[in-house]
Amino acid sequence: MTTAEYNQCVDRHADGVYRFVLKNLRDEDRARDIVQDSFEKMWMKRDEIDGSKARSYLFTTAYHTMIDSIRRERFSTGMNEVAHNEHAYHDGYSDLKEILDEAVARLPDIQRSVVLLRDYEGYSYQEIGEVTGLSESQVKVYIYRARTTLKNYIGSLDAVI
Amino acid sequence: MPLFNKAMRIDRTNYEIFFLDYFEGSLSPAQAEELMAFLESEPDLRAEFEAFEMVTLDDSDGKVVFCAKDSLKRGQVTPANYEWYFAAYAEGDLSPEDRSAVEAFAASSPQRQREFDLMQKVRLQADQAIVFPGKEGLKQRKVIPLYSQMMRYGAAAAVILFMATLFFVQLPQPGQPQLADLPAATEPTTPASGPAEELPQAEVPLQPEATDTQRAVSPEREASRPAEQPASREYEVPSRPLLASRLPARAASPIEVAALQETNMEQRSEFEYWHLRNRTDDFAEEVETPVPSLFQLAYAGVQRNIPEDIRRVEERLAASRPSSLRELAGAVGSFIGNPLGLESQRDENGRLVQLAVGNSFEITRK
Repeated sequence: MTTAEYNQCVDRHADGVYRFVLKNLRDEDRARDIVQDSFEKMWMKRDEIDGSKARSYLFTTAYHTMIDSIRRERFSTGMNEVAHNEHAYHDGYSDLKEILDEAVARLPDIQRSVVLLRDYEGYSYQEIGEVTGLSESQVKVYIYRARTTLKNYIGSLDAVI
Repeated sequence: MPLFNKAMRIDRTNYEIFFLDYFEGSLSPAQAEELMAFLESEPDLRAEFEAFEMVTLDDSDGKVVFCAKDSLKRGQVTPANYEWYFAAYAEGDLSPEDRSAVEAFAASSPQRQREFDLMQKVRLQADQAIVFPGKEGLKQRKVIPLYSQMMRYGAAAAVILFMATLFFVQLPQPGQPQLADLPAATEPTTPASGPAEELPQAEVPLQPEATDTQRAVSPEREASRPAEQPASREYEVPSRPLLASRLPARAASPIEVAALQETNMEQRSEFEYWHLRNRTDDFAEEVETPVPSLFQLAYAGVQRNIPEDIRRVEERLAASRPSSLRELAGAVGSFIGNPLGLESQRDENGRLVQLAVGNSFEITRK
């Protein structure tokens, strides 16, 4: 991977990786740190990375860095605070997008990650499996579960639909 | 298999084994009767016997079943598996036949149709307004090793310096006589009819500031004199030799002929460079002097006009090491066999305006 390809990768994928991490963590500072860390790792390994695989490498690195960050966060954060955060949003929905954002936040981590990669980045099951380390069938199951959960969530809010 | 030995009799030391075997069903009817008789004789152990019975596991786990088997079944859309089909429909994983089946199932009930419609809406869209704030900071700039870059610049500078040095060395210096312009070579010289004039040593000072003590200075010191002269002092070579008849006729050297015949500036410069390059190291400083001294001009002019092989003349001049015009005239006169005349003219202020050494060299102040 050349310097030009690396910089091109920054222009093309930095926003996507940032959105993906931000939607998972809902924390701008941590999301920004993870994006920077991921690009730093990619720059360090640029000699080993094929330019055409840069996007996959970037999301894989960001995903695993994010999972590590989530585990550390849970280890250091009490469950009460987590439960409080899960119910942080209740009112003021104005459209389906906001409801879906809230519903996505309630998904289990793995389901949220795979469905975000699927919808935000348009990854195939196989690509998502490469990023997350899951089998293709596992990815499929998680996505189906996530969609059903999201459907049931928005269906429960009849007033706003 | 019973844990106890068949020869074993039940007592207070081994009753636990009989208890376990009883609940495992390993005791024979006779042994079971013996155990019951033992409990009758030892009523305090009855509670412990019943406790063994409580830890016995029943097979209720075997009754646990997976209730959602129907949801796993495929091939037909049913109320048990329709959510899977709805999700697969939304993902585009179904065949055309399955898609039709799903649509038909959804249309069979308003509630199912609503769920089907909701499933199609469950499609996340990235907020394009969210951008990474530090994108420019992530970019890297191409790094060229400083050493190689400096080497490139250094090499380029060295080439330019070399070319510039070569150019200025070849370029004729201001006031320096040009070989092609020397009249002695452009016009045939007449043979000397008699002995050359004696050098008017007492009357003709070599330089305006020259004294007897200064005549013995080294060539290096002589070379430094132009810096002391005013910048406006310029010399030119006259178009006609004043003392052309004072030297015997001679043939021009091959180098001179080449220099005189060639009008090509590049070749002329090449000749000049060759000429200067072959001068001895003793006069190297004179070559590099931007404004040549009078001695330098005379030296160059005499060299070009004496009837000797140029290399031989240079060797003899270098051996005699002349440091002034008078010594130069004497040296040249000695090896050409004729004393060399030295004439000069001064203006009303006593300033040297014209100088001639035999018919080899003559300059006139502008």
